[in-house]
Amino acid sequence: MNLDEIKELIQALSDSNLAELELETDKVRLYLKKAVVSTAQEGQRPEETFPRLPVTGQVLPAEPSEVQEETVIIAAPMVGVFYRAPAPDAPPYVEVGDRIAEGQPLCIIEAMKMMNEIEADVAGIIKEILVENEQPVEYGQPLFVVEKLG
Amino acid sequence: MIDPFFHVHCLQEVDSTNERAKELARQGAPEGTVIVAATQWAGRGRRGRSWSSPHGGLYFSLILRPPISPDLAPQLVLVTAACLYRALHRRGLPVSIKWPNDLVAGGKKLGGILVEAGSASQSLSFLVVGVGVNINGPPPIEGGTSIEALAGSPQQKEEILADILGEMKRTYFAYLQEGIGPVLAEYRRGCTTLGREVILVGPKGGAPAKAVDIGERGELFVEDLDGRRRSVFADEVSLRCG
Repeated sequence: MNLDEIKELIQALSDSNLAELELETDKVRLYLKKAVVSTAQEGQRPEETFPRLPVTGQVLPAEPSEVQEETVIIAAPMVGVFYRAPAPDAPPYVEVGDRIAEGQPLCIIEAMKMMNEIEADVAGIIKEILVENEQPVEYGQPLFVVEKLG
Repeated sequence: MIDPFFHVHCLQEVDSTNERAKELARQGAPEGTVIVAATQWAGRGRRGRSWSSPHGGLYFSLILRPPISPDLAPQLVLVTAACLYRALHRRGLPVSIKWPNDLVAGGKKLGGILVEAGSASQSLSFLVVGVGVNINGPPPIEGGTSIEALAGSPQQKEEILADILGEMKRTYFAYLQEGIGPVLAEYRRGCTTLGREVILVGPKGGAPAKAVDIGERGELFVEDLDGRRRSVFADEVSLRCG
């Protein structure tokens, strides 16, 4: 199973009413679960129309190795333009191979001139950056592949 | 008088009120925390552009923690613009909103809004609403104007701040209860871009169009010369209008 297939599954789950999805093949066990955005408190939201829930994806290896390796995909929580650095002349927040802490800023997504700094949900190592700087991103689009640590 | 909902920190000089507010927000400062500075030496606009901030201007940043998802957060740009419009209009000043986040009077820039958010990939943790308005003294940029120039005499900055914050509190809590509808109605009333001919500047050059409406996410609806209607987001194209 390659990354594109995983992304397709994430999109399918995101578009569906399902809360989670589990898939097991010879080589991989995949568990996807929608982020816990409680819909029970819908009344408190300013809008009745609440769009598709975002997803987090976790790919688990079929055979647990000695080092428990878990890959997490960090997805875009909103539509906008993806920026890898806080300003055009500043260095990127993160590079592939960087070790990141939970809460560390990873990128900015801009929409309607509002800048949203996206922080890491997990501690780990950046394995892949899936979007080029200054490119538009869709809701739920995978941005980073992170190998979870600890 | 500033509403007791707000905890106001007044500073003489600061790099940028948004930077200080973001730092406080990350340390857990409550909703309603406000940083006001007499002057900023590294005042910022969008994407690191500088925002000239001499003495005489009003520069503040407000921390909010709305229980909304990150994709709705850009609506706070609309909330803030509608508040600035209402607070200044009530003083008899001929201000209007230039879509999406500028305040103008007679085609001259009077102020602007920079909203920044911090979020995990799924949930919003804070918003910092940054506002800069030229109050007294000569306008800091060419083609700009000030409240003093519009009113004909110097004005009390503290009063204007109290008015704007009062409006922010009312409008913000109404927004959380009722949604974006009433805010959008006010924004449309105050928006000078609507009904105008605009030039959409895209990668293939400029295209004339007419601005016809504002959507719930703050997007601008335009009609091209053939009458085709489509929505435009601020970050996809630049927009020129008087």
